[in-house]
Amino acid sequence: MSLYQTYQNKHELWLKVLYASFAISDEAIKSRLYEFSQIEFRHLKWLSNILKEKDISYDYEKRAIDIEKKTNFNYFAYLIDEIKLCVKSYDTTLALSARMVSDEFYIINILEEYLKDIKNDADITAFNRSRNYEGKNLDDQSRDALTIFLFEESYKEYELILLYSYFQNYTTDILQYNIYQDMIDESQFHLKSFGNMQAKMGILAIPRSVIEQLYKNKDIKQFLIDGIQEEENAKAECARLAEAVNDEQISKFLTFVMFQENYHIELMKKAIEQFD
Amino acid sequence: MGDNITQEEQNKVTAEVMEHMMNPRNYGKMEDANGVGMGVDKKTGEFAMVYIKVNEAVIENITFGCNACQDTVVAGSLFTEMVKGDTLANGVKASLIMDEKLNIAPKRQQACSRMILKAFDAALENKINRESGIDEEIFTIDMKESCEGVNIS
Repeated sequence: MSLYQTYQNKHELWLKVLYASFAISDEAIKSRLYEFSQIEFRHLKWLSNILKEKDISYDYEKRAIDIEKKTNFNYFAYLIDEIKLCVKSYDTTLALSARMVSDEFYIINILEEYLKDIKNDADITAFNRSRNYEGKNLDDQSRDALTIFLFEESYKEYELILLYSYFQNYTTDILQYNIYQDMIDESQFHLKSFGNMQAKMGILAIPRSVIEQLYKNKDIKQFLIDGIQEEENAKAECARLAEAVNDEQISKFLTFVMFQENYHIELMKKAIEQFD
Repeated sequence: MGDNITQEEQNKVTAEVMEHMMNPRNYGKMEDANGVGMGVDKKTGEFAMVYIKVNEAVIENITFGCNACQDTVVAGSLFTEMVKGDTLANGVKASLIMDEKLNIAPKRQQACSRMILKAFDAALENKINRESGIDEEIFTIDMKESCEGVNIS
């Protein structure tokens, strides 16, 4: 199997584990799966680095992923199968493969342990399309506005994680590399927040693919300049939604996200300076 | 007409729209397309791409991709579902009907959804150009109206 194919499998596996962490309600399992998804993301980063070193082009195309499982146990069994399939695609001559396999044997072991205790099973409501935010009493207008916001923004955060990862892989400037890492970490946090909110509304879905025109042969400086405007727009959207949603807790969270955009802008300005 | 629609009505999420938002149909690049088109909103930088594979006047396959909002995603999912497997003539007719129906939508939604129809037109143009021997990877059409709801001069 080609290294690109392994890379694509790993991209899909990262999403499968990440979205399982959003879908499952049990806080301890959710947290553990999220940690595992971050391990898979680091594997992805290292694989992209090897692809670059070998001068092999890669993209963020992915195949359709069916994450709509009915119970936790369905999810654990699904993840075990998917991890095993991914492991089969590793090139055993790569030193990285042994490290990935070691991580994944441990993850499989934990998932198998979960399956042994019936207390770990529960129905999954993350895909029931109810749009009733768990524990909240949103009016129709708030519900519709929040639905659209979560779809727009979860895609945007996913896109930014991949774009900054791509730029990070190809930069030779240490400061830029670090700024991209900060931006990736910020977007990971936002995606986690929005994904968990989608799950609470029963509308969890994997974002659509990020098309290559957005990151290949890109004028990165211009991308960052345009990105500042996008962050300003996102701030305005968060403020508008915080005002419109009839729930104090959600409004406070959106206001918090809005203020975070300010330092994203500062990071982007700092990255732009490195091009001058 | 479309301007009279409130923000609340514009944001109304029906079960069908929800389904297309959660699982957009026919999304992604098509490697063996014989027509590739792009509709671009130069003001916002948003764009949609449509890939078609036409064989003996039948749209055997159609996919789309976009850097745009959910309105564009839902329009692309609905439109490609509608015309996939149908004749080219019916596909063109469906595009014209959808274009007309969009007149009752708010201006922003009109522009965002029409980006898909423009990309479809561009893909047809690209197919014709390729068949006449022109070496053209993609055909692009600029939008007359922006997703921001204004005319582009």
